[in-house]
Amino acid sequence: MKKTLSKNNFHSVGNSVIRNDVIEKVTGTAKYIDDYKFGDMLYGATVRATVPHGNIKSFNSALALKIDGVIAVYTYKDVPGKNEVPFILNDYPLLASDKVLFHGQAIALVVAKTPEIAKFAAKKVEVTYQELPAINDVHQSLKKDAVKIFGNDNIFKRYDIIRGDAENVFEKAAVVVEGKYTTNYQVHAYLETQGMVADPQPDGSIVIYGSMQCPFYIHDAIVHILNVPQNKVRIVQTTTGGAFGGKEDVPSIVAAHAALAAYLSKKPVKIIYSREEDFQAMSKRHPSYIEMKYAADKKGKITAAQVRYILDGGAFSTLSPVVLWRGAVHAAGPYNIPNVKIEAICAATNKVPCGAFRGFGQPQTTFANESLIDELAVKLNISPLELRRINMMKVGSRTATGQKITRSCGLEKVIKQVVQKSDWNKIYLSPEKRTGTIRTGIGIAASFYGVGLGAGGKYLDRAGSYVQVQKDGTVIIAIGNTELGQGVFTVISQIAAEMLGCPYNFVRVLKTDTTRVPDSGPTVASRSTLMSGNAVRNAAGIIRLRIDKMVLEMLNVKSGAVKSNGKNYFLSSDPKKKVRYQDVVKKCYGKRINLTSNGWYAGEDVTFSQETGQGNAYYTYSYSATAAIVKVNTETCEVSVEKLVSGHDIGKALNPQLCEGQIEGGVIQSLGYALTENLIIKNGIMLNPSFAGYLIPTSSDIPEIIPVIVEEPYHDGPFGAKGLGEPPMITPATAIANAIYNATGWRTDKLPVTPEVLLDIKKHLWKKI
Amino acid sequence: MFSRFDYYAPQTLNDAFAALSKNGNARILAGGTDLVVNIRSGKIKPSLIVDLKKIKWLSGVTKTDRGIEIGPLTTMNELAESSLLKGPYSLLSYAAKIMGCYEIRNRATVGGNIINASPGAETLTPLTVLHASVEVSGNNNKKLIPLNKFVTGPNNTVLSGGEIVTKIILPFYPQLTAGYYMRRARVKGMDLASVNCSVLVVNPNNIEKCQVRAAFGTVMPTPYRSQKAEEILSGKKITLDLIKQAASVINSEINPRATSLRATPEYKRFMVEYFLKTGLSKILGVTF
Repeated sequence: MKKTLSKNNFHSVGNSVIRNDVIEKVTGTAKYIDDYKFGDMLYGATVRATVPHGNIKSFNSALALKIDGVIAVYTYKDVPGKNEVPFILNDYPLLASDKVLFHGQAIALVVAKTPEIAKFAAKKVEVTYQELPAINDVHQSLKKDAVKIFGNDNIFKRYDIIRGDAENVFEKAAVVVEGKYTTNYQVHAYLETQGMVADPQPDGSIVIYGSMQCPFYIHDAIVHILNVPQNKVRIVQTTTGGAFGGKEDVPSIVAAHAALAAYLSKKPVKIIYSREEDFQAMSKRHPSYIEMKYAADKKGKITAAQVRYILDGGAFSTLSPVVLWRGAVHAAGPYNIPNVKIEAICAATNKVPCGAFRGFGQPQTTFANESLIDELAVKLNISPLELRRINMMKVGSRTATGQKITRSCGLEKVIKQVVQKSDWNKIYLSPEKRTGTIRTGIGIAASFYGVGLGAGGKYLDRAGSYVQVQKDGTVIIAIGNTELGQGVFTVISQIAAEMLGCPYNFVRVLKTDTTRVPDSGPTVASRSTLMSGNAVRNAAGIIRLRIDKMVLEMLNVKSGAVKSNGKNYFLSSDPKKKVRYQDVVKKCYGKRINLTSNGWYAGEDVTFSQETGQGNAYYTYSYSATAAIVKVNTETCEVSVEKLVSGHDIGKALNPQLCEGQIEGGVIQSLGYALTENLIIKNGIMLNPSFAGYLIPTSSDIPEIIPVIVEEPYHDGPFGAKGLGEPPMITPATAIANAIYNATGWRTDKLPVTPEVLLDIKKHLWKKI
Repeated sequence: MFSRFDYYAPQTLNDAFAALSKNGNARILAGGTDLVVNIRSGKIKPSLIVDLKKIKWLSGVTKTDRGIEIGPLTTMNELAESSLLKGPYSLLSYAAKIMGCYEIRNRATVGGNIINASPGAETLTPLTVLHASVEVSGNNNKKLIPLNKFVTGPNNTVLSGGEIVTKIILPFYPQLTAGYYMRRARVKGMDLASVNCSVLVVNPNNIEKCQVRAAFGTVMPTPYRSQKAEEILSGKKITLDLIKQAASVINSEINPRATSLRATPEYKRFMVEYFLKTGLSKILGVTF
């Protein structure tokens, strides 16, 4: 697509059509997994470890089995295939055999006639342990004499990205700033907890229904665990009540538990987690520890960046290696820096395994680099905006991995609009000039985001589709990506309508099912619009060629360009020559023309090499910046966020209202990450596994949010679109931290910034004076 | 998961007493906003629930010779909207108004709030500074217990198994007596108080007779008042220096527990002076 793209050229894409799942969700008729019932259905409950690290000394299910209504208790011994959940390193056992590595790890499954009996019986299964010393944090984990819980060094994965000669530059640099940053866990807090139903079929196959992001991951997991052929497994996504990465990796565990129980009991088995169980056992955003350094010349040109980035992976690696990778390649920030040294490590601890979460490692590294950029601005005595303007990525810049940005880079426009819409120039004052008990502050943070899996999951970056025009002109579509509330089914429908030339509301997207299209990779990495969008564009384009041929025939012309306004086809050269969409479809059916097609799309190739840490990491990037305006009570140290202006270059907004919704949702999630969400795990035990103890923002905490969309089209995206799912979660937290600094002069090195954290800083500053 | 229990909703207090005396493992249900949560988490496993909601006279706010009488089943929203809880008592209706969320305030009762006796309970510090007394009825007797003797620790009161709280009584106060309730919560919407405080100034316009009371929640197992600190502030013109002295006395007396997840002991200690200063400043209309 060219830059002259304007939405006036389209009848469907670019419009804020009402999302196609809204009625069922708003009226409460949508069917979530707990609404599914099957005849003779049994219920599963999980027996979980009660110590953070230990050898299992004894296991006794006799008491549980005596309880009326209990059908069976299954352990690792009953797994017909491999007792491991396939992620990347396959270190996570489906059910613990001889040892447990975190409090809450699954040991056995109780299957009973009611969920109440199953849960009661799970507590009656007796497990004794020989407790072992537990690793509570990454510093302890990486010590030479530490207990080893993974390999011989407790390191799940390590990456080194080296460009130029950072060490040498730091020695001679005019200005150097450095900082150490820590960020805490974040809980996905999806409304619907994890849940699955496995339904065994008479032919020996099995169907899994459930709340999920990645049906194909689950498909692979079931094959691996049950040791059955690929074609004996079918995974169907049910309406999913929130995901945010939390339904990406760990649902494979829940599904495999249900599948195992159903396979062995030969009855449908449902497993639904309680909120507390979901908190304790499901994945989280990784806590991080980051050491960061920037060098600059006196004019503010950044000459080098150095990062030591450590993630707390928890007890098993799940997707930690790729979370680490994404954070690492973006760790230097959205700046053109010639010398970069990034060392990234994910270490094992005896805590809940961390995994995918919207932003995928980038909220952590962004907190470090964007806090430090602000520090650098202070040291250089230039404004934080000016420093960013001098160094920000533009066409022609290179990333930390040496990738040259050749096109579709809207960072400059994004920052410009965010500055304008936040009234930055009116509000900004340096902290020394602020007075009073309640002080206002404004801060900014910027980021870039590699769309799709890139080199982190290169072979998975493809997608299939199936498009079928029915006799009455309505359309059925199957894709491999899932609807998580982000609105992808709506956007897919818009793309199909645009390509086929039919009204948007003629299109229906089927629930995602692994038997309809080939493995299309996961619904993650803000990739669905790009990948499935292109796959649908491909399939619908094939059908459209056949339709156009028929249109010409019906209009009695030999050749010419056929256009559509969503109702009629007409000749580009003579718009009066038109024919109704449904009449063309009818004619095609009459003439036995196939209006069905598969589609396929594979992302552009990437060249990043793990050995050198250099090369193209992603085929394109989205760019974002958020400005935060806060009020800080300098007495109580309480922070009130007043306004968040969040700007995003996403290539093309196929549905602007949905894009704004994504931005608002991500911004709010990031607000919680910044201020209140504070999961506490002490000696391996989670102390606040509930919404009374773990505080996400309430509606009263939501400030004015101004979403800003910038369109720098990506030539290979559907109508120019890139991706937007995750970027809104990446910058707001750091913008808030920078705004707190601007209000008070208090620089936080940790998230969340609770009043306690600010009080510590305040006391420390007083001591200095 | 819920354990099994019987449910009984008596029409009269006598029927309630009869049911309670027959079952040693019975629990009283008022609003249920604590009880049901505790049953669900398995913290308590009663075999009988006695629901008092059908005994209508147990709810409502009235004015009698004894003072302002509040029925234990009066909900938070009823407290918040009561026309009798104005002036000296307005801090109680304000505390009720910001507790939990609207839906919880429609259920939660003042009797349940004081009997659950959470250290940060919203109504406890206002009732403490208002010198509330609690009328406890047994099968054949009735006694009036001052609130500070009624609450004995977190989730603990002197109430024994067969007894029911039947009234909460607030004494009359001179005109112009005024109070202020403050709390720190982690979010602006629904949260439990991390630390809270009620300040009451009796006779604010008469320096000699002026009496300052301040009760702090979550800094000790039960709402804490410092006699020494109140003496420092009472009967004289209040200055920032006196407030600092009083705060320092309170801080030497309290011992906030380190295991609270809602606020650190350091933060709670820091808030003592802030609460005193803010409360007195709002009540007296002066800036310190």
